[in-house]
Amino acid sequence: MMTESGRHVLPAHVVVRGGALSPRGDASLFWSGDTVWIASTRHAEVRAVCPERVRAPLGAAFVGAPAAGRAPAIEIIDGGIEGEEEPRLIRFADGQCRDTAWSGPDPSLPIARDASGWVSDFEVPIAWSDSAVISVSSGPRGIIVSSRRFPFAWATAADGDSRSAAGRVPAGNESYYGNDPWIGTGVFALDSGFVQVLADLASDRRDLVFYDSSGAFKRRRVIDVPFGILDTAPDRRQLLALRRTDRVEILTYEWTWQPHRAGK
Amino acid sequence: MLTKKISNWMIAAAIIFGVAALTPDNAQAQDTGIDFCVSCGMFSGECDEGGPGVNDICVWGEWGGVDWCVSWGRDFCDPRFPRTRSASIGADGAIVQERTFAAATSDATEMPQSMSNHIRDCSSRIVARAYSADEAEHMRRRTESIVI
Repeated sequence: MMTESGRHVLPAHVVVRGGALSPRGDASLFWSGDTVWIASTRHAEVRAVCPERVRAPLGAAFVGAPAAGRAPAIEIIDGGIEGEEEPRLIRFADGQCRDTAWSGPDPSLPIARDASGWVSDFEVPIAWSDSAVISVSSGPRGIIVSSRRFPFAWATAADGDSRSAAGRVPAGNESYYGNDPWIGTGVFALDSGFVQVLADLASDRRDLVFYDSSGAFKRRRVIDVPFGILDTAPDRRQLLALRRTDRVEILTYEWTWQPHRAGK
Repeated sequence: MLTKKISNWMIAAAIIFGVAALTPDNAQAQDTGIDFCVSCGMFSGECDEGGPGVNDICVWGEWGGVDWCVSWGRDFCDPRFPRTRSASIGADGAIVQERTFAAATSDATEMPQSMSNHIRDCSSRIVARAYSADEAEHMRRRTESIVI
C-alpha cells in the first residue's frame, strides 16, 4: 500500500520534468522547464532554488550526505538560453549559488546523477535501437535506463556497462501494442524490486508495473489519474510522485507491503 | 460582454501557444460541440482574435457553452516530428501542451464547474483536457492510498 504523506500544490500550468528526494527524506526537489523548486516534506512552503541563475534546468539532484544540522548541497545542470548561453552547473550550498561551465556529458540527452556524478552516455542494448527515446532514473544499484516505447524494456547499469537487473513487459500480458499511444515514463527502485510507470496518452490511465529484484514481472496496478513517479528512496520506503488534476501536486508517499490477491 | 471577450481572447492565446507542435497530419476535435477529422489543409478560418503567433490555422468550437479558438498550428501538421518526442511528454505521462489548456480553463469564469472535456487528435491522444472541481477532488481521493 502506498499512502500519501505529503503534498505540495503548484499552479496547473506548471509542467514538472523531474524530481528528487533528499538523502534524509526531509525535502524534495522538482523542476520544470525554467525553474527548480525545493520543498520540505513537513511544510507547505515551496521556494525556487537560485532563481536568478536558473534558466533551463535539465536535471537536478541533492549531492552527498550532509553533516547533522546542515542542508545538503544541490546541483543543477542548466542548459541556459538556447543559442545564447552554454550549459552550466549550478551548485547551491550553504545558502549560496555558484555556477561553473558544464564540462560533463552531453546534457541535452537524458541525464541522471549517481554516487559517481552525472551520467548521460548510456549504453543502450541493440534491441532498443529502434526506441532511442529513453528515460533514466537513479537507484541504489545505479542508474536505471528504460525505453519509453513498447515493450518498455529496462535495465540497471551499475557502472554504465554491467547490468544487474533487466525487465520488460511480458509479451501477451497486456495489449500495449507498439502503435498504441502508450509511453513509459520511467523505472524506479523499490526495496524489493522495481516499479515502472506506463501512461496512456489517450486516457487518464496509468499502469504501475511491478518487477522483482531480478527484473521478473510480478503484477500490474491500474490507476485512472494523470500520475507519475519522480524518485524513490527504497531504504526509507519513500516515493516522490506527481499528480495532475485541476492543479499540479507533488506528493510524497510511504509504502508498505501486504499480501496481495492474484489479479491483473 | 467585454469581460467575456477578453477572457476568451486570453484563453485562445494560451491555447494557440500551448496546443502546438503535435504529430499527425490530420486532427480531430471531440466532445467540444464540433466533431470532425480533416486533413490540415482543410482547416479554414484564421484566428483573428487569437493574437499574432506561429499558429495561424485554427478552428472555432464550443466548449462548455463558450466559443473557443482551438489552434493546432502548422507544426501539428508536420510529419517530421516523431510521434513520441520525449520533450512533449511530462512526468505525469501526458502530452505537455494540454497543461496550458487546463490552466486556461481553470481560470475561465465561463467554464461550468460541472464540465470536464477532452480534445483528441486523430490518434485518439488527448491534446487538451479539463476537469471539474468535483472530478478533480475525486481523483485526489482515489490516489491518496494506492494498493500496490
